[in-house]
Amino acid sequence: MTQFAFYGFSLLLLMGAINVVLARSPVHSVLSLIFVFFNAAGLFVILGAEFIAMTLVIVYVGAVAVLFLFVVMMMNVSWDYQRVIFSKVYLQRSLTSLLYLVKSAAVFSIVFLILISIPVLVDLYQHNLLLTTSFPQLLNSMYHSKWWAFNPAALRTPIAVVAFIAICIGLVTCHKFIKKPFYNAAASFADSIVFFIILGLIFTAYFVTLGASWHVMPGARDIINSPIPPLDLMSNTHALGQVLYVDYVLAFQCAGIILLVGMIGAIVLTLRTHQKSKRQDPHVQAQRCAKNTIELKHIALGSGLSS
Amino acid sequence: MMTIGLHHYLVVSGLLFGIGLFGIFWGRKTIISILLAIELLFLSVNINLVAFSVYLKDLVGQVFVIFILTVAAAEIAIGLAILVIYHRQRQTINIEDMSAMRG
Repeated sequence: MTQFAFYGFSLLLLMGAINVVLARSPVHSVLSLIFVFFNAAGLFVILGAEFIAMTLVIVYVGAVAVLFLFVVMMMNVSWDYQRVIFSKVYLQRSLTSLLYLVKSAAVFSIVFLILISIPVLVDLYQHNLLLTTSFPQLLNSMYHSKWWAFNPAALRTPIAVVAFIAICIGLVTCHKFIKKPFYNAAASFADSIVFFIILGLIFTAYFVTLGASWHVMPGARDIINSPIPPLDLMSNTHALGQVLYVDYVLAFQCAGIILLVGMIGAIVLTLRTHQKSKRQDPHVQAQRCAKNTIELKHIALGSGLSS
Repeated sequence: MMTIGLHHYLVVSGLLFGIGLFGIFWGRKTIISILLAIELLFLSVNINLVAFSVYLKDLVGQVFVIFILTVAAAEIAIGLAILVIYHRQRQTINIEDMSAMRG
């Protein structure tokens, strides 16, 4: 039963999230966001965090999402300029630039291979093995060199991802200096749909492999700060309150101050003062005196007062 | 069907984070879409925290989810206020038009 609930909730959550991103109209996006929050609250209930689930529904669905809806509906903006997803010219251009990028990636990886083989060759030379090593042995030692992390296990580590991003940046900047047209292609590729699909897939694959291969350290359960009490002893809300109001009372007050500052800031930012109506200002009235309001002038007989 | 463990929740939150990140880059036409994608990122982080909190039997994770909710709510309020006054002045919330800082 729990499995069905989990799979149902998470499937609906992910579908709603995709709809948040891809919906044409922002109103649809916000409504999907509300849907996503309800499903996340369901997931939290399955986990046994009822208080968080209810807070999510009350705070997010009740306040934040409604705030979004108000803002979206208040704005008199035509939403027609949302991205046109598969216009033919756009797709063609991005495919052309993808072709450019693949070509130059091939060139760059050859350069990269040569560069990365240098430490291996130097290592062999220092051990006087350079001339006696056969080519397959050389390839083998290059493959097992510590200088690269191309085996699948290491792909999960953040270092490999950082290296990948560094290679990408190097790819773009390197060719920027070598060949001008490539840079244009890379720039238009970086703006294209294919690039975003690839980027999203890379990041998603990274996060998913990271999550699926997660190990909890054996001693991690022994260093618990405030253990969850058994459910027949006290409810989740009770236990949460005992931690929140005892151990984290200062942080709780700070959170309250942050909310206050946020509220005042939002009011100050959006407040419009109307200057049309005449209002009494007691301060100005009290400061008023004869010296700076009345001017006495001597007017000669037979002449008027000029200006 | 196997029992639902920590990994399931981590995978769901990873997928959600990927979708949110994708949304930031994809829907960068209006600020509203970026703010919505940021909400998705917050949600995935919260799922992560609650899952770890439950599976390590430590309540502190859920406490910090409350703090994250607070800060996120304040941030969204300020962000939407800025958006409203920007729209009032410029009559647009298109990101392509926002070049006052030469970004």
